[in-house]
Amino acid sequence: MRRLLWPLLAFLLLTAQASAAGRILDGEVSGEHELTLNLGLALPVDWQWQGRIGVVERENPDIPLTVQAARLERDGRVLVLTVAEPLSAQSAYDLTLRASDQDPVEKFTVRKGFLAVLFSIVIGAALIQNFVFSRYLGLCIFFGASGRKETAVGMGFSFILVMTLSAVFVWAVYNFVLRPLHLQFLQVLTFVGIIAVFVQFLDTVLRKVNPFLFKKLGVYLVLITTNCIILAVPLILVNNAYDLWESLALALGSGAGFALALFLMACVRERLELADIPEVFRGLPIAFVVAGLFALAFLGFSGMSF
Amino acid sequence: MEGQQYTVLERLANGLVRENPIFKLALSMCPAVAMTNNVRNGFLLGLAVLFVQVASNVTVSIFRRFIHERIRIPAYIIIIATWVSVSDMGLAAYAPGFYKEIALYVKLIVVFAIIISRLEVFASRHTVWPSFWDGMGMGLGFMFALMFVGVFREFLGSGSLWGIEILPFKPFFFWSLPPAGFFAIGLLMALFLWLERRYNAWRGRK
Amino acid sequence: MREFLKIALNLFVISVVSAALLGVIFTHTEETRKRNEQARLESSMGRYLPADAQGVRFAAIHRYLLEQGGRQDIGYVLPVRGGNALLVLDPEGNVVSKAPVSGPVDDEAERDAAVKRTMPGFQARYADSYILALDSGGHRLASFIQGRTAGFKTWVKLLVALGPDNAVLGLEILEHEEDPGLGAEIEQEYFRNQFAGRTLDELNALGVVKLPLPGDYQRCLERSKWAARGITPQAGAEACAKYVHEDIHAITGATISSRRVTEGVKRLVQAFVKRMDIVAAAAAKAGLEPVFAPEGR
Repeated sequence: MRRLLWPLLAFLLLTAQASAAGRILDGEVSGEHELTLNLGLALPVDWQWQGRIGVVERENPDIPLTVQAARLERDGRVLVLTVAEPLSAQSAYDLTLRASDQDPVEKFTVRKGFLAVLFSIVIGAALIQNFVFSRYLGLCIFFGASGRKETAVGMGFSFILVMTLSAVFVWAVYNFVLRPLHLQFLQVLTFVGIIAVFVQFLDTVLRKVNPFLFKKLGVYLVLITTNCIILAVPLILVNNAYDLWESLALALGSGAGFALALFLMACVRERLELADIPEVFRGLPIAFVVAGLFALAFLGFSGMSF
Repeated sequence: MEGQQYTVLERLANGLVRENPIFKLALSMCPAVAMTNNVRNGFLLGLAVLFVQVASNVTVSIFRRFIHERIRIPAYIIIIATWVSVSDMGLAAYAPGFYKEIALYVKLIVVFAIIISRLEVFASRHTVWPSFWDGMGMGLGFMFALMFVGVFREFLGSGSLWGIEILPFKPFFFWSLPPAGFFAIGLLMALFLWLERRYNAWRGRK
Repeated sequence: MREFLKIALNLFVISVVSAALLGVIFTHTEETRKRNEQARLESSMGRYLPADAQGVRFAAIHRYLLEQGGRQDIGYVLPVRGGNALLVLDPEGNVVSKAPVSGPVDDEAERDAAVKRTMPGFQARYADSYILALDSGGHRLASFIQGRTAGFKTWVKLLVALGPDNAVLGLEILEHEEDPGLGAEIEQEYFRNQFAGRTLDELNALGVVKLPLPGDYQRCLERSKWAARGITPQAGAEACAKYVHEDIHAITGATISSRRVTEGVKRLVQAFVKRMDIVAAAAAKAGLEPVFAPEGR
């Protein structure tokens, strides 16, 4: 996985980094004790690293980390540092480097690229912390709309639509109205209000613009208002103080995850209808057990990070 | 419907058994899966839902003639959201230790279908006293369901009840893990239905 | 149109009444919430103080990261005689500037605002806090580090209690998002209390082993259950003394969480010890009079 992501990440970091004019192009945390830097200007093979390289965590600039070894690869274009303390891909590290005692000190910050952060939020919300199977939210709608594949697809699609639109609006209202006026205690009221308004708005617009789509989605749109996830996403993005892009990423990821969960469940439930199930289990009880199996499967994603 | 007599006991029994929110109506199950890994969380969340349900029921019942028909759903939502915020702030201030664990779910009470459906189905059409007991019945039914699952999961999963150690070992730890909530509800729902069927058959035979 | 206006007014009135009710309740409960939170923190810290301590005061040092242009400095909000002061040091420990801080500093939001006011033009980010329990002479009875470390999932917020000689008195987990039954077991006494009693040198060399916890070690670690199990404090302390020099036993099924919390505790304590020396020296050089006495013994 690392091999596949490396070129992508390198590209993203390249484009997203405002690196200081210098020889370091980009860098990443490549292991629990390893930092890998890509150099634009190669370092000599016999370069002595002692005293010429410094690494600190951005959060703790006064605690220098112990560089134990430095290795040059690819004719001096790649520098791999081994650090005594454990490193985390979620943290940012400030590096200082000088090629020789006469050269000036170059600085560089190794951190996750902007797009990489968004990507990890999307994947996080869709798979690792799937709202249905890992966070156990949105279950009423989930069990209600997962009986058939068509309903599942319809519900999933309308959900993604409402989620992304309302996430943007909620972010704007919270950051430009509630927070400056110290009205955070009104957040539940405002979020629910915004969502209800959006659903109503979408209902009216869709009715006029695309009646066919409206007929297909019709009843689900209204049901979305009482969905736990639709309120949980704004609460989460407020709690984590996400910016606009991160909020959008969260909304997209959660919508996609919900749609995926719905579809998977619908596939199984359609099959279950033909199976010989004891009478007391028919309908919801067996659906719960199936959901439990899915939840166990999704537990395998737990703790993954990019 | 306005003139029909509802007794306190009837409303309570309705909420607890006949139309139990979790096991029969299958509404608002998110906390039933996530927050039942021990009895105390189930109890606290059930208490919060009880408070919001009763308060909203009573509010809507008192003002039912002032809420215009066309905007009744948004009005219900605003009323529920207000009571949810009140209980959220109250819990945060007076029971912060417990509040931390159920924080997200307390705020999510506002989207529980059970509450708004009770307002629509009952409180908007009946006077205050029956609405109060309907809310109590539903809330208690919800709390009972949550605690029932909680007892099952906590005892089998951690060998304790309400944090008090009963067994010195953990019989079947699986039940304490989060996904077990689904299994627990599925199995207990089936059990509930089976019990109800046996009871009805017994009554029918009498 | 009339109808529409009537409906809109109806909805508006309901919204305004609700918002007003919430506003009233909010102002009422916010004060209580803050007071309760402070009281809880102090009582949980009070458990680590000697039983006969009298006239104990809590003094808090808050660390901020100040950024301007490309340079990063560290600002410490220190309690000094007469109020609070912001001491800005560079990463090497030299004094860059100092300024008095006006306004309350206990609440995070108010403190952030106060720091921003004191240092305009800088981007100020809150890092962590050190809370010192001082006796009447300003000497440290205990120190508490409130910080965070990466867990298996996102962050784990910790409170480490240190004694006057920087030995670990205890560890509390404030917030985490670990899996219940697995990583969430870091909250349990049988994990946290393994850190208690470690000296600073032992802590620096501490590792994590994937060995199951011996039964008698676990029983003596669960201090809150001593009474229920009929273990006297003396017997419990004796039983634990056998194991106090061992590495940390990882939680079953949560090795990574155990390792990360252990590393986190190590680094937080090491950073604290280093920073307290620097801050005390720099404060003296800058002419500030902090309420805590320098550790010059």
